[in-house]
Amino acid sequence: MTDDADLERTFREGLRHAAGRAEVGLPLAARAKAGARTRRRRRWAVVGAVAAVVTVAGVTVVVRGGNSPERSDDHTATEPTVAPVTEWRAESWHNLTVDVPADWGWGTAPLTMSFDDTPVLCGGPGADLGVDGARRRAEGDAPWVGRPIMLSDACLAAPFQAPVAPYVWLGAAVEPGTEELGDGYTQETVEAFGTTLTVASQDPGLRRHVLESARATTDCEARLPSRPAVAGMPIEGLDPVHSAQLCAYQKGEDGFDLVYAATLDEATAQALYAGDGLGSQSATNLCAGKFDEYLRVRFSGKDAMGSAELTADWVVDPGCQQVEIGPGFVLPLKAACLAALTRNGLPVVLRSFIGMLG
Amino acid sequence: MDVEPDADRPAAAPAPPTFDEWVAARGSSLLRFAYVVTGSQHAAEDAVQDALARACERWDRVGRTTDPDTYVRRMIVNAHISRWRRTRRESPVEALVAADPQPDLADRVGTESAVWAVCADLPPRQRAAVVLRFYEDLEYAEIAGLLSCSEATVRSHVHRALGALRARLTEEDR
Repeated sequence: MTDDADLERTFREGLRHAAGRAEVGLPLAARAKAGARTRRRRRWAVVGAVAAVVTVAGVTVVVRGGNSPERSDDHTATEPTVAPVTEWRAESWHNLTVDVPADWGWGTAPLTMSFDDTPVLCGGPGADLGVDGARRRAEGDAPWVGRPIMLSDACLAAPFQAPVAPYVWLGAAVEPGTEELGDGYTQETVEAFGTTLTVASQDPGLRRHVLESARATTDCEARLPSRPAVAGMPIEGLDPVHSAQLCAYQKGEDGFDLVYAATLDEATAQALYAGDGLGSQSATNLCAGKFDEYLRVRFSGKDAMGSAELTADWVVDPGCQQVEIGPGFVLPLKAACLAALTRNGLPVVLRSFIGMLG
Repeated sequence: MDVEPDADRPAAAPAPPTFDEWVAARGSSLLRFAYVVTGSQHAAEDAVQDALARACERWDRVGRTTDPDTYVRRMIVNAHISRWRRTRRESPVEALVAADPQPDLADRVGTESAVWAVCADLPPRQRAAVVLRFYEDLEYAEIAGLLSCSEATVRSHVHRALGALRARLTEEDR
């Protein structure tokens, strides 16, 4: 049988007969209602926790009537506490790069499951990881930059509670527009460089700064047609190495998408390039591609035998904890090396670190 | 006195079915669909319950859509894919058992087994594309919308599945 029409008919008949074997007549409605009640209880538990944080985090001040300074019983309101941002860092998602306050942590952003258009927040709210490397999952009130990545399998469906911390979301499932969220927070979402950029804050200046900083990603390719490859490894090597650019890619529909980018400091770049934290035995490649996630580390430095500026690309497979430093030359990564590479937002961006269950 | 119906007044739109009414009418069909999508009774029941729990929560909206079936089937497909993504393993696929098939049934059972085996080898997204195409008779564009991928991707999934079935049947014919 080779004719496509015959094969299609065979598929149809085979599936129809197979479907007839399903056991039906189950109490589906009753089960579904019980499931819905469980989901509602779980959601309210999360909402309750958020509300408790709002109560604790809010700063209550007395608002006095304009002409009667003595009166103190008009009403109370929550006053935003906004400190000026003095330092910014770049954050990238696909082809979008923006500046965010340098002391903000990392977390999640609304995403949609393919079976439902309702945005859900799977993790947070608030930073799941602080810039100091500390996990903050239980706190919920730390400002964060979020990406649409499942950090937990317990998800909160939109509409979300008023935020208790400002945030920037890259690529979130949010329609463009401006929304007042309560407690003085305004959320602005724009389409930028092929994705969405959302910023919510009580500070209009901060929102403006973030939105105006949107630009195309240039330090890393926004998308690669295939997994990153090692490149440009000069035999004599680089000396000295003065920087390293880290680009994290995750397999998407049509190739590998950039999900995170960071610049390693000079000391880390030099230690890594010198082989500190690399195993000495070749690693087996049986594990390769376990999570379809790769880090490309592009070292920049001087040609050890000349004065030209050169680059060399290594490819780290974080799921397998190994690094390819030349074509087919794969070494294991020791824990200290992996820790140096991930002293940033990567632990809450890549599945290799998050795990499949969030 | 008899009252004549007012011919000029448009007929009131029929009330949407209640959740219970709709599940009573469509539940069996959903389970059969889920069974061929997931490959096992257990996974089918999980996916259907997951989808129906969500549909129940928002039945005010879902029940008024022109086609709640499509909405819920989409949820079933995606509940299964999501579950698979979380666990990264296929639900155990039930073997097709036909004890002592009659001679005239042997061919049919053999072919059905081949279809089932091909489906079992497919990743859930590809399997869903095949089921939606050949069990639900959806157009490629509809499947693409449902699976949130391009039409070309769906065609590729289906084409590969046909190739796999051809290879399996050819092998069995030898």
